[in-house]
Amino acid sequence: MSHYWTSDLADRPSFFGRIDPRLRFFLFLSALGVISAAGGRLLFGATLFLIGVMLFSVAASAKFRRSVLRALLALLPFGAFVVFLMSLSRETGGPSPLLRGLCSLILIALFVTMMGFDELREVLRSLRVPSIFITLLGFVYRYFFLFREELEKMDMALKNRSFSSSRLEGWRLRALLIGQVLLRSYRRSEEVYRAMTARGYDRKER
Amino acid sequence: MHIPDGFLDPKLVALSDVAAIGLIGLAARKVERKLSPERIPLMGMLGALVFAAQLLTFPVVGGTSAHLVGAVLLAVLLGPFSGFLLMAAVLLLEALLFQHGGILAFGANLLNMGFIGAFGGYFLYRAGGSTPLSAGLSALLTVVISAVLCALELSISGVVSIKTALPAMALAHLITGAIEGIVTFSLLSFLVREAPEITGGERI
Amino acid sequence: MIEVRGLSYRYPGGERALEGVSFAVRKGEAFAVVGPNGSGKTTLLLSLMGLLKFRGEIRIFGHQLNGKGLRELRRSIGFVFQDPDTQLFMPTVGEDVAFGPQQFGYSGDEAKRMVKEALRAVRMEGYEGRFTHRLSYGEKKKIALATALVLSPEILIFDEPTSNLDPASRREFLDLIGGLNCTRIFATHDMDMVRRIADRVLVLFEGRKAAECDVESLFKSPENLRKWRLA
Repeated sequence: MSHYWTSDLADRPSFFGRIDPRLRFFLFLSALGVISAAGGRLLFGATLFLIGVMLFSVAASAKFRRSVLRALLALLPFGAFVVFLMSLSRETGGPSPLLRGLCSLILIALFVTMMGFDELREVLRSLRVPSIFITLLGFVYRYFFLFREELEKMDMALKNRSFSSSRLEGWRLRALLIGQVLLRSYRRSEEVYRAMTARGYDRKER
Repeated sequence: MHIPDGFLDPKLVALSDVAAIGLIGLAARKVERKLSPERIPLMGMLGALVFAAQLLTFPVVGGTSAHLVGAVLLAVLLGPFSGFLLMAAVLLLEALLFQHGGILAFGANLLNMGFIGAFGGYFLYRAGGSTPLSAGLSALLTVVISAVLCALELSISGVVSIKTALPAMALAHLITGAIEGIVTFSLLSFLVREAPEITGGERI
Repeated sequence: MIEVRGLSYRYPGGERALEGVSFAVRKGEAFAVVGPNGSGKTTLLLSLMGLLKFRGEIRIFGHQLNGKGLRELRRSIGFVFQDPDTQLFMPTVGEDVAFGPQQFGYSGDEAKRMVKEALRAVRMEGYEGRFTHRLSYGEKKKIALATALVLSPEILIFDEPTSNLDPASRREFLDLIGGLNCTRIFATHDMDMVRRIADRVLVLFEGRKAAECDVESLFKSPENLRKWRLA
């Protein structure tokens, strides 16, 4: 539950580990590009193939099962909305976008299992992505889990206390809850800066 | 609304990705040059917080629910360039971890939500007098504008027709926009009162 | 090795945290800083690292601790913060332990080797690729120690090293600290740890020095311990 990046070092498939991360990244993007522009028979074939790969992986790994399920669930609201809009009008693109969406989601779910977060950031670094952006990616990922836990705890406490509040009041209370966690995250950021400084961080000299 | 891969026209995808990458480069340079170093962990914490807060669902009507974007909030607290850069990080992680929005469609999503939210939102916030209220209103507006852009992009790509998509998207997002507005307003009023050192910090 | 004279600090709000504290730490010893909550222990440790703007004089290896050469001095001092979630700010263990070396210009294989050695020193070999947020509290504490050890510091500073640890993790962590032979300074409430590891003690009470003595003489006087809220 508490982690989303499916490839921890411990269970990263060694087969992919032997391919250079940059090549893995490039292959992933190309596959995604081909699929998201595909139509007709190619798209149909790709869908069948990816569903096959997905079923195989799902059978092979429980971890992957969860991430695929999550991927499919993610497509639901948007897909349903698009289907709804399509049903309202006559001139639309037909089912191809939905198939392309499905294929891409399976591809992304696969990608995340074959690429470590540290590796991905290394690839981005070698592609000259600005270092501040990569630093922020790291911070956001690292502290996301901590804050999610804090928010969930406070949300639970809030639900236990508020019996009959209006929807509007509920939204406002939620905001204050986020505010509380935000205050704490502000204090924590000062501490983190101290921890960085203690370990030699000094942007002026670098 | 996060657009998955496969829905947008490839030309539109390429164009928006180029624009998004350019803007990330620009914002990164600006932040790297101007921002004092102790604000960098703060950016990280606030980005992580917004990311986590996006997972809170707000019940609307029936079984439907909405969640926050947080772009205006970040831009008001940290400045438009920092806010944009953080939204880029958050949206990229969302696409990878939760498959909310595609990887190739990342550019379009970043322009719809990050650019409109951070730059557009910050502009409206300043134009409205830099108060929590103007931030709230600008949050509402930017959510609706994002939805309209999303509808436009989908109809340009021939997925849906503009006549139905535009009003449907705009209407649906009036409600999410209202939530975004109320949350942004209440949160900022709370912070102005309780922690002026946070709302009064440097903005890049 | 460390000489502190007349150390004072006020919080930005004007409230007094430390007032005229003087003491000295000798090379290789385990030096405990004890005192009740709010007595200024953490402030004192942060000052030793040059992380606060204090008044008074701090000399480390004979060098005055001020703006110049501060970064070089920090290189030979490791700091283990109380909350490992503050200290470990990178997504993976390997990146986190490598942060210090990278700041001082080590990279590639050299940095990897240093990380490996530091992880071995805290008995966490092979944890490089692990995500920090998935570790247990005890594991995080050990990795935090590794991030401080990686540059082979001559001085190690710990803020509340044993707080929140379960008994088994606490014992492991104490064994690690006790087994190091560099100069160690730690602030703690854990009097059992003081008795087991420390050579000498500094007692802080309400921001002032109440005593600086051997561990044996501290425990000889129960009424003093009660007076300083240590027992």
